[in-house]
Order: sequence, then structure tokens, then C-alpha cells
Amino acid sequence: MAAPTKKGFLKKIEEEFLRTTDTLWENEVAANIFVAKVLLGTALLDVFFLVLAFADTFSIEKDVLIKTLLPAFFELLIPALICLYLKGRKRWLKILMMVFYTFVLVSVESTLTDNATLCIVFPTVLSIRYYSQPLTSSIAVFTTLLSIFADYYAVEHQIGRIDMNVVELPAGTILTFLEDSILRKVVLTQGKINYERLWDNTVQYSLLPKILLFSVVATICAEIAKRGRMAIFAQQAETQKSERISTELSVASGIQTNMLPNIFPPFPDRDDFDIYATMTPAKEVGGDFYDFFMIDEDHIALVMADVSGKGIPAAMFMVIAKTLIKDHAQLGLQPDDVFTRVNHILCDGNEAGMFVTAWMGILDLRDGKLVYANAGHNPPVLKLDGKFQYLYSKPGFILAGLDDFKYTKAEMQLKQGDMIFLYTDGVTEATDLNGELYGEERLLKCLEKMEKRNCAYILQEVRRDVDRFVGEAEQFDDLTMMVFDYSPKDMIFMSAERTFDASDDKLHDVLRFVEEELEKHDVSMKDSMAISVAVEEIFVNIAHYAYEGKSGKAVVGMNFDDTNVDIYLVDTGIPFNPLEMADPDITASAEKRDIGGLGIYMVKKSMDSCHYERRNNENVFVMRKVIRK
Amino acid sequence: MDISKKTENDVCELSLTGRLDTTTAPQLEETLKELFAQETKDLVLDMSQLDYISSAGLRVLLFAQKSINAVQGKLALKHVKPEIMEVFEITGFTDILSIEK
Repeated sequence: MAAPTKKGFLKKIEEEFLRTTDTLWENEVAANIFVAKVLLGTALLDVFFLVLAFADTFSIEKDVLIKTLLPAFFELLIPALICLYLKGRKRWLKILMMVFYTFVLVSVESTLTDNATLCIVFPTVLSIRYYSQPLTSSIAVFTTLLSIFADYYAVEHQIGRIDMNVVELPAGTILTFLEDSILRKVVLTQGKINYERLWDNTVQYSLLPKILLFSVVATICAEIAKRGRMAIFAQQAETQKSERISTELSVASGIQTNMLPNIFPPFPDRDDFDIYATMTPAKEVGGDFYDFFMIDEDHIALVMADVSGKGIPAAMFMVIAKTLIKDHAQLGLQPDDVFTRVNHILCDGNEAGMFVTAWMGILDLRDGKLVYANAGHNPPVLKLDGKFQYLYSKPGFILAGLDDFKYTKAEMQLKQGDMIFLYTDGVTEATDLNGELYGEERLLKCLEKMEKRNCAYILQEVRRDVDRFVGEAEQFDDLTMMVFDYSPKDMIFMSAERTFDASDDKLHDVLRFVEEELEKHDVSMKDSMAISVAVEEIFVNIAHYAYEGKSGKAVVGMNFDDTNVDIYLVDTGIPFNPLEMADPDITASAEKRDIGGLGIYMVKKSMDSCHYERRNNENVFVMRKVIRK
Repeated sequence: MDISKKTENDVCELSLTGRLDTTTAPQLEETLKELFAQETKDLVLDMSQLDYISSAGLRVLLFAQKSINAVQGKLALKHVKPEIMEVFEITGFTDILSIEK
């Protein structure tokens, strides 16, 4: 096992190295572009000085200046253009531009030995942008050497300003103020250079101090470049660290979500009730939780709770609270006793001062007797006899708040068709941009508006209503809801349903409706076609036979969950079970083949299950297809 | 559904585009009947643009195969999409139709 680990480790280092070099490379490209722009800017400046030189505004000879400035223009322009053309994406560009830039500045310095001295620091300062100490140091050394040479050469050849200290004139020469350019001629015709003095003057008094000062500047530049690179590395490490933390958080969030029952329908073999729940954490991990579980054959427990605070601490406390409540409830205790005992355990060693609000109900599915207890949680909404209302009861104290608190239970009677809607304050306290709360009133109105639909649909609609209300405002609380429908699963509760005239003319409308719904749920083309064909077969069957030539209606409905789509076709025609039709012989030769029953046969073969029922003078045909997304 | 026809050396080729279902199948049946009335014996169906087929479409294909068999002609289907191939497979139509791969 050691080998693959080592390999993995090496690979990780390699990846890290590549990633680091990536960032440096990106920086280098950006730096190249920047330097190219500086070169272009300098070229513009160069043009400006050229114009001034032509206009004879300088004290230095015109042609000397032009000889310097004109090539300089091209030395700046060409490397900059090459760099921009290559979009800065070549390693050698920095050397090219730096070398030419140095040449230009040094040649300017040689012409203006005294007043352009500062020029020679430019390449070194500019090279900091690459955050590379070796580069900056090399440029500094290169610039120094080149400028020593240029300075000496310039004075020796009397290119720039004349340094009168190094010229020996015949004894008795009288110096008067003259134009510099005339002076040069006088000097060069009548005087001669004293090389000893030249050395003393240029090297000792001018170059040496310049180099000393420049070394200080160069050292500082190199240090800045080094620090810059370190800052890039530090930033990178920080990014990696925060990436790791966010991965861990999302794993934690996954663990938390998976702790809550999240497969629906949770009890596929129970058709005496329906249940659905959702949790949307505001941060990656939240403190809300819901839970439901069968205590025995006839009792179901429903729990909705909200842990104080958010993030990892709340999630950890949630895990403890959820486990304790479920464990105690499964012992067969009543909700009040569950809360009393769980509270006692949670209070013990709760140094962080966390607490939980919770509501728990246990319903006897045989007679509808609901026993419940409330530990400081929001009142649930009940639908009793078709009317939605809050179940206000005097709540007990929060869990983990006060040791030895004695919770009380309450009882009530539910009838078939009643509903329980549980939620956390993330719903009622959702806030819009004006700071207004969604509130209990709006929640009740939203639920009342809802026609009788399936549980998943109800939660989806409430969620939509809350989202609409909130608009752009950022939400800080988890949004958790659960709905329990105490009525036999009625096949007509669908997420999409439409009624059509049972006629061939309407077939394309039917298929369009079906296919649009399938597309909304990302059903693959292959499954979508199989479902369409099945719908067509049943629909055409209804159109042709159900109403015996008279007109009638057919209802097409679809119900989606994560893995299945159920399709319902309902008509009020004569009783007819298509599943009873004999299967055609699919091995006979073409001549002996009879097409009758082929459509139904295709339905049976392509769907995962089919079911027919005659109910209240209606033919109800249900097909289920497992959808692979 | 669109049906386009081209005839070359006595071979008639029909290209089917779109959906072959209860409402469009009669259209293909009409076209086929006309062809058989003109004593077409060699028929090719290009299914590359056919997206959908239901039992009504199968019924027409069975009719075509029977009619061709009766005159000892030839019917070939080509470029059948996988979704449609699956329908042929579950209904045993792969055994009675000659489908070019």
C-alpha cells in the first residue's frame, strides 16, 4: 500500500508545483504587457524630445541628440510591438525588452551625463514587476556595467556635454561664455584631453558615487521583488487552504443532509398517508432538522427542530439532538417524556450554551389520535376538515435550556384528509428588502390557496411563495418544511395535469404537454419517447373505444419524484381494462401477424409498471417509468 | 410528418421525417398504397430523420411488408435510430422487417 501513497504524494507535489508556476506565468505575461506599455510610453516621450531637438531648444548639438533619440525610438517601439503581438506569452520577451530599454536609457545617459543620471535606475525598478529577485539583480548588474562604459566612452569621445575639467587648453586661453556647441568646436580644435584627469573626474567623482547610490536602489528593488514573489506564494497557499475548508464544509453538509430521511416516498408500501420534507440551509451547514419514522406498525413520529446558531457548531448539536430524540421515541415514550429526558441529557455538559426548539407529534395511524409536545417551536399548521389553522398550544421551554424542565403533552383527533404542516422560523421570518417578515398570515394564505395536491407540490409552492416575497434580499436562516398528509394516497394528486377531448385530433396536444413536462424534469430522449408512445397508445385507445363514438374527456397527469415518473390517464367511459387484452404473437411471420393489442403490449414492455383500476365510474390507468437522468 | 420520394432504377426510396403516430400514419399508408398501385416492387425506407413511432406506425410498416411479400418484392429499412430500433425489438418487428445496419 506504500507505493501508491507515495505516488499520490509525488503527484500532489507536482500538481502544486504546476499550479504555482501557472500563477507565476500569468504574472509574467501580465508583466510583459505592462513593460511593453512602458516602452511605448517612453517611445512617445522620445518623439516629444525629438521634436524639441529639431526645434533646437537644447543646448546640446542637434545632430548628437538626433543620433541618440532617433534609434532609441525604434529600439523602444520594436520590442514593445513584438511583445504585444505575441500577447506577452514568451519567456524571452522580458529579456528582449529589458535589454533594449537599458540600451536606450544608457545611451540617453551618455549624452546627458549629468542631468539624465537617474535614467539608469528605470530598468531595475521596472523589473520588480516580474517578482523575480535573480532577474532584478541581473538587470541591476547589467545596467551598472553598461552605464560605466557609456559614461566613460561619452566623456572620452566628448559626445555629450563637455567637461571642462578634463580639457587642457593652451596657456593663456581666455574663457568666455559661448554656446555649448561652439565651445565644443573650440575645445576640440584647440585643446586636448587630459586622460589622467578624465579618469579622476568620471570614475572617481562621478561614476563611483553613482554606482554606490545605485547599488542601494538595486538592493531595495531585489528585496521588493523577492517579497512580491513570497506574497504570491502565500496568497496561493491561502487559496488552497480555503478551498480545502470549503470542500470539507460541503462534505459536512452532505453528511448532514444524508442524516435526514430524504428518500421519498419513504414508506412505499404504506398508502394510508403521504409525507414530504425539505431542508435548505442558508450556509453550507445549518442547524435545522426534520425527522419522521415509524415507531411501530401503527405509529408515526414527526419531528421538526431548530438549533440555535449556525454553521458547524449548530450542525454538530443538531446531530446529537436528532439522535437522542429518535432513540427515545423508539423506546415507545410519549413526546413529553421524550423531550423531558432528551432535555436532561442535552443540558448536561452544554458549555457552549446551545439550545434547540422542537415540535414532536406521534400519530396513531389507526384512529388518527395525535399526541404532541412543543419545546419552544413555532406552532404547526393543521388542515382540519379542509380548513388550515395554526395549532397554538402553550409551548414548553426550549431543549437544553433548563435542566429538569417537565414538558407536557397535548392530544387531538385527526380525520382522514387532514394535514400537518411543520416548519422552522426560516419560513415565517424570511425577510424582504424592506425588512418585512413573511409571517404566519402569509404562510396560512399560501396554504389555503393550494388546491389538494401532493405533498411535494405543496412544499414546492410554499418555497416559491417565500422566494417571491423575499425577492433579492439575502436570507440568513435555514428553510425547512415538512408536510404530512393523513389521507389515502389518491392517484389524482399530480404535479402536472390537463384535460383533453378524447379524440385523435388532440393527440399532438397531449404529446406536447407530456414531452414538455418530461423535458422540464430532464428526462432523457430515449425514456421520453418510450413514455410518449405509451401515452399515445392509451390515449388513442380511450379516444377510439371509451365513449363508444360519443365525445368525452381524458385526463392526463404526471407525477415526478427523483427516480420515477408516474403517468395517469383517466376517462369516464365504459369500463375497460387494457391490461386484460391478450398479447399479440410477436414471433409469427408477417402474413400471420395481427396488429391488435400491439399498442398495449408496447406499453407493458416499455414501462416499468402498469396498473388499472375502475374507481367512481372512472377508468384509471397508471404507468410508472424509472427515469435515468 | 414529411415524406419525400425519389425513384432510381426502379428502386423507390421514401425518406420519412418527424413522427409516425396515430395521426400521421394514414399519410404514409396513402403514399404506400399509391406506390403499390403503380406496381412498385423495390422499396427503401430511409428512417434517418424519423424520431418517433407508435403502434399505428408499426401497423403501416406491417401493411407495407405484407403487400411487398405478396408481389415477391423487396422492402428495406435503413438508418434506423436507436430509440426506434428498440421499439422494433420489443415488438418482434426485427424478425419480419429487413433492416440495414
